[in-house]
Amino acid sequence: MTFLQPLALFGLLLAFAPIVIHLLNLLRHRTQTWAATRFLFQARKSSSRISKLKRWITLLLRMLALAALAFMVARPMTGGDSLFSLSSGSPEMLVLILDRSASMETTTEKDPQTKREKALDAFQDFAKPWTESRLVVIETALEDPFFIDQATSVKDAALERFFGPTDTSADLPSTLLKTLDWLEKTGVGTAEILLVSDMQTSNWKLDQNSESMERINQILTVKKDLWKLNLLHLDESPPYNLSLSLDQVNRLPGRIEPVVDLRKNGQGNELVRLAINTNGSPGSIEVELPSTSTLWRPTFDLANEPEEGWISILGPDDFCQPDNVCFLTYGLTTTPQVAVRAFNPRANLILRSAAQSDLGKLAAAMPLTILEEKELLSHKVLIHQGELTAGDEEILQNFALNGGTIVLFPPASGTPSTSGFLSWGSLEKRDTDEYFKVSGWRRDSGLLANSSDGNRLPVDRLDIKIRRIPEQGDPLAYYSDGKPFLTSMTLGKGVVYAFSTLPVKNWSELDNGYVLVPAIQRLIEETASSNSFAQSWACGGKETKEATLFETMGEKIDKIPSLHAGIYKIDGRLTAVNRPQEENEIRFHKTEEIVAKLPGVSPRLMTEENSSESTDRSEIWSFFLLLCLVLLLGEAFLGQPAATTLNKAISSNA
Amino acid sequence: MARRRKTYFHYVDQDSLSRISGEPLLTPFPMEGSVSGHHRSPHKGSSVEFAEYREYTPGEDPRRMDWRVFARSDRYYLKEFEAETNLRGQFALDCSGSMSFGTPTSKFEYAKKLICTLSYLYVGQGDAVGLHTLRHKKPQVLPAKRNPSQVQEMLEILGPLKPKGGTLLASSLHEIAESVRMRGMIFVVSDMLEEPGEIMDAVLHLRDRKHEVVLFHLFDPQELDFTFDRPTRFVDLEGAGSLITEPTVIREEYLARLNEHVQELRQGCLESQARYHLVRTDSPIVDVIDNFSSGRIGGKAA
Repeated sequence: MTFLQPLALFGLLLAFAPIVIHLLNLLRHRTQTWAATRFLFQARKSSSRISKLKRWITLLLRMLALAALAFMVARPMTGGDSLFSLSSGSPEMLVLILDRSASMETTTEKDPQTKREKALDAFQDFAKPWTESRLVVIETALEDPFFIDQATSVKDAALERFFGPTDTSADLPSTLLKTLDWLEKTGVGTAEILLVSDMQTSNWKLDQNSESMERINQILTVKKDLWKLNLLHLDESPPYNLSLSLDQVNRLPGRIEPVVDLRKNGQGNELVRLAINTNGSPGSIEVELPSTSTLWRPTFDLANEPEEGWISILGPDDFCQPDNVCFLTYGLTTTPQVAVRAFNPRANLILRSAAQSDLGKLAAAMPLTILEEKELLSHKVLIHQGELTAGDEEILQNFALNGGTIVLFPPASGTPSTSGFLSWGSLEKRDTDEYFKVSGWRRDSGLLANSSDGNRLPVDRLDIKIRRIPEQGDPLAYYSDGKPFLTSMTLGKGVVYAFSTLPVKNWSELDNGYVLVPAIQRLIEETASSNSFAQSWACGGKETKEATLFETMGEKIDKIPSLHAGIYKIDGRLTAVNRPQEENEIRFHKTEEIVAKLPGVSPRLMTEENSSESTDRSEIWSFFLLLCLVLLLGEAFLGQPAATTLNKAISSNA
Repeated sequence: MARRRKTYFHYVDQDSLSRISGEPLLTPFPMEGSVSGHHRSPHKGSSVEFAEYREYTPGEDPRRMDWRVFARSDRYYLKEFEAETNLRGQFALDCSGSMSFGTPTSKFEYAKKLICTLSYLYVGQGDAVGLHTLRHKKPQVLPAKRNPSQVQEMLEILGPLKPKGGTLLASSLHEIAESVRMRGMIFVVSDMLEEPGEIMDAVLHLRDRKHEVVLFHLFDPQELDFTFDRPTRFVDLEGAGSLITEPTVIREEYLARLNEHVQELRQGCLESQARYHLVRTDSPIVDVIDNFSSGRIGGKAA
């Protein structure tokens, strides 16, 4: 229950007026000499329980009548969380947190509206009862508060950029947290927050965002009566959907071989026609989909195409359009220069061999003397093994910050270090046959991913006798005891990889090359791609947000790389901007799972049907008026003199 | 110049005199009087009122024998006549502090008027009246006399009398029962604020002595209506303490107790053949006497 005039609730103090009046009356009693006091004493002594009860009930009825009057003046409305919620009827601000990710463009057979459009409709209904509140929309793509003068503005075509469809992903805990911080910063007193989402698990990442969820819970618990969170889960799944996503692109001389992941939600064999557009020339290919998930590996001949260009692959229309298309670009690439600096001579040789160029030339070896910055200028990849001095660390750090890729192998000796940006654990040995084994690694992407024909790298066959665990970075591969085999860490524009063992016989079987060589070659290729004139970004990613000078290619529609997938020329480089991979996620949270992460808040769960609370949030002052009258009638009834007949009986004999 | 003597004749209700003095106030019970009067006597005597024929018993006065009956039936019969005598009325006035209650007329003042008016009427028809003031200090007793100056005597006693002290009703009535030998009428004028059982014991004592007992139970209208609406501190007039209460809360219970008290007295009187009269002090004296008088005529007729 909420109140349109909460200040009138101070009138509840009036409920104590009957008690005060009673006490004052007792103080202001008059004195009366009396003859028949014996009857008074008897009457008081044996004053029946009913009389006393009647007296207290009368007092209570008077108090309740006054309280009902105060409630009536406060103009109560139904629909609040707590009876004594002190928020006024119209909160200071109504906030819509709009999940604007690509998955929100899903429609259903019955309803051609997308989930995003339904969310906007729901917000209009939600705002109806609160005509005096300021309206703000914070959507997941831009994450900036956007004030609107009326709720219907969210459907305004001119504001398509702010509320229209996107090909982005969403980080809802981050957006929610930013919203709460903004509310705090702007000193908003009361707010109703409506979060509308399809609850795609990749948009919440509850495990990774546990700290954010905890903080959200803390803030909302503190502001329990002031800021209310409402969750609207749009959980309809599309009756039929085919999604395309680019898994991998192998750029080869004269041709390009992308790996396209085709997923559909229907069973059975199916033949679909995909529209292919190569540098503006349309074409089509029929693809057979034998199962729900198919990796399609076409080869596009680029012999007659420009050196730099783009290709778009478009699937047939279905109930979710944004995931029907993927884009890729190709262009001239330059093989990055690789340098190896390894203190272990055997490791030095093996690493230089693993990093050799297409022409069979070994990678350059760097001198083991003091590392100098100028020596790294001509290189893009540095493979390093051995101890690092403080000076070396600084130089490597700058190298990574400027976009260089570093691959680190542990020093063969030395004490564990806990400081510095690159530190290693202590030396661990297994002399028996029970060697350290790698049990898990990312097979879909990264250095240890499966090959293009689906074969996995035999990482689990490596026998590792000695290891030193790198203490920084995100693990890419694990040992069976959970410790990382390989980590990666982003540093500025560059990446730092760290292996936990050496490619030498007495350390591990990494020197065999069947794991090391593909990993190093992929790393070099990845670095080459990032330096190519043709690049690929995820829509809504950091790079797309920072892109200011861009031009849309192939389409006449005005698009923005931070919001829409497509082919762009950004800062003169051809760029394919695709829907983020996580938008292909087909798992969705139940609302209860989100609520469970907010134990102190108990958000209001809404459905599309009840998102309009106008029926629920009606004023109910008339109820309190009626209650007040009933209570007063009861009080009057109890106050009726019951002894009139008795009186007559006595006096009739006079 | 001689100081003018204060008169208390205003205690005699003129309305009652003008309305009731024409007919005598009678009693259904035989009275023992010293002279001839309007009331039945327990003794047979010579009068115009035939009583009965009774067979002669040897030893009785042969002068009262009816020779005409003897001549007709050859039996000896005595012809008896009702003796009519005067009445000895004793007024017992409760002088306790509680009798001072009442506005505009206190119960005590009302009682004085009632006693004086009745005395005047009784003396006027040749009956004797006496007075007992029931109080702690210096209780006064005026023996019953039929002398016309008796009313003046009573006025002199009652006029300056003030109610004070506790109630001695029951014990005083017992004393009256012991002290008054000749049967007569005992008028008890009181607010009866004692235990009904004790009062009825005293009434029975009086009845045992062949007295006719009449209770005038005085009430101020406030006592019967109890219409107070504000918290009030009730102070007892006889010094039994005080009580602060919300009158509306205990009104019902108070009236129930009062009614219970009245009913006990009424029932006691019915059982002991005493007469009970509940009197509101806002009722005209004449109505009270009229009510009392009509009841008594009825009694005689019965």
